Amino acid sequence: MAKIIILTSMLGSVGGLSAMGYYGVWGESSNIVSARVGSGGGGYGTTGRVK
Amino acid sequence: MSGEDSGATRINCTQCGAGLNVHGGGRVRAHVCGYCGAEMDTQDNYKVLRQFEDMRRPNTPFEIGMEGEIDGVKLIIIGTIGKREAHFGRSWNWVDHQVFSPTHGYGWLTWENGRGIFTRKMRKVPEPATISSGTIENSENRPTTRLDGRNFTYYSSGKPKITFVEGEFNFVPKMGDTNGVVSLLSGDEMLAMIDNGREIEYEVSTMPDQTTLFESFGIDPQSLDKPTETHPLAPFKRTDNAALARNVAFACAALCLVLALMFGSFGSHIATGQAGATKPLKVTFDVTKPAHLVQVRLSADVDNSWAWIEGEITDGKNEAVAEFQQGLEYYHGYDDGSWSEGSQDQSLYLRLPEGTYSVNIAMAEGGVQYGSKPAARAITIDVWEGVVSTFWLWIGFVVFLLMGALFLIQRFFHHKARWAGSDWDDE
Repeated sequence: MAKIIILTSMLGSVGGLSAMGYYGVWGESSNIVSARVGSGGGGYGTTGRVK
Repeated sequence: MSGEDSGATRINCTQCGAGLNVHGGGRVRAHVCGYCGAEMDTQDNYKVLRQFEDMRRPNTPFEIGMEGEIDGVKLIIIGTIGKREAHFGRSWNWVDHQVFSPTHGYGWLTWENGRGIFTRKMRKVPEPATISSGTIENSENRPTTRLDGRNFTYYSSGKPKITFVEGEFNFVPKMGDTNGVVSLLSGDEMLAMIDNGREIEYEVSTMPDQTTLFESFGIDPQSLDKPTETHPLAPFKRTDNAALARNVAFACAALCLVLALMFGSFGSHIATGQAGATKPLKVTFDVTKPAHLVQVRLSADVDNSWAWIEGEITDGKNEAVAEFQQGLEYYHGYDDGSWSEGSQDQSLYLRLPEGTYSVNIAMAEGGVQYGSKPAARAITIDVWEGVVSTFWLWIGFVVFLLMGALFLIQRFFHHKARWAGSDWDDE
């Protein structure tokens, strides 16, 4: 059981991180001072980071 | 008192008449009565040699008469000796049980701080054969000796005192007896050099698998107090789950790295444009992959200078969907080697719905480090769509790598804990 939890949680994390990157979740950069386009998180406004 | 053994020969104590079991074979020299404390000479019709009084029985889960197996050899416990070492106000207590095998002779099973340690005498002599207290006091580094191709490193020294005696022994122990002992450690073996005043004897101790050992002697391991310290002979044990977690953590770190590199190659270059730095620049592009990010890279040929770019992205109805500002600065030179800092380009990332867009930029300000040349001669826009962010995968790579490294550090801490009981002082 513990083995399944370890495998599932770790590999699931990689899958989640991949999906977040692939779909640009919180992917906007902070040099955008204002925006009315949807953010990666689904809302409006700038939420991202400098790249 | 002693464990039951129906198959043993029995004698009566020649001092008090108590019935005593005899387990120890032909080389037993002394038998100490557990009832009255009389030490009898087994080679001389059990003549009483001396009487031990006021002995306090030490705590141990082993009893005389218990039988078990260590490394495939059947052994029976024949004697019990309590020992005490005191040093600078601290004291350590342990119990040595003499064990006997009809085929392998005598040895010791020691109970110390919740653990059972097996010790056997060595006929081989290490090189060097002795380590004196002077050597220990004056050495810059821990003294070492070599035995059977293994290097043993100094661990501790002392003069333990006998505090309790009961049963049969292949020598004649006395209450209060002390021997000088120098202990040296090599992996899973500890070598003891024992100076009994007449000669130096050598013993090697190992730690058998504890569960197997206790169960073999009929003791429930769960009933014993847990050890409070890491024994110097304790092997480093990693549970299957911990080993799996370590391996999976490293595998996930590798997976994150591969995926990050793969994702970094995604994206299609869809538009470009260049203009003089003093003029505004407009580039129009179509977004066809709204699920992913659009990357707009701003470049300027800044050279030991800086430029401040301001701009906006407008949609097909010429309405602004995003405004941005970005400084570009790049400096380089030679100072004890060539150096550079800053960059001639920066990117902004955003998600845009499907449609046609324009990016409009202009250099709002600029400056040079020295001279009168312009801050930049040209500004450039490049646009990609279908870009995938690698940020989270790089975060995952670092986290999983640290997680795996933590498991490796466990081994280092175990090594430190094993040596924590050493009396060696580097100063």
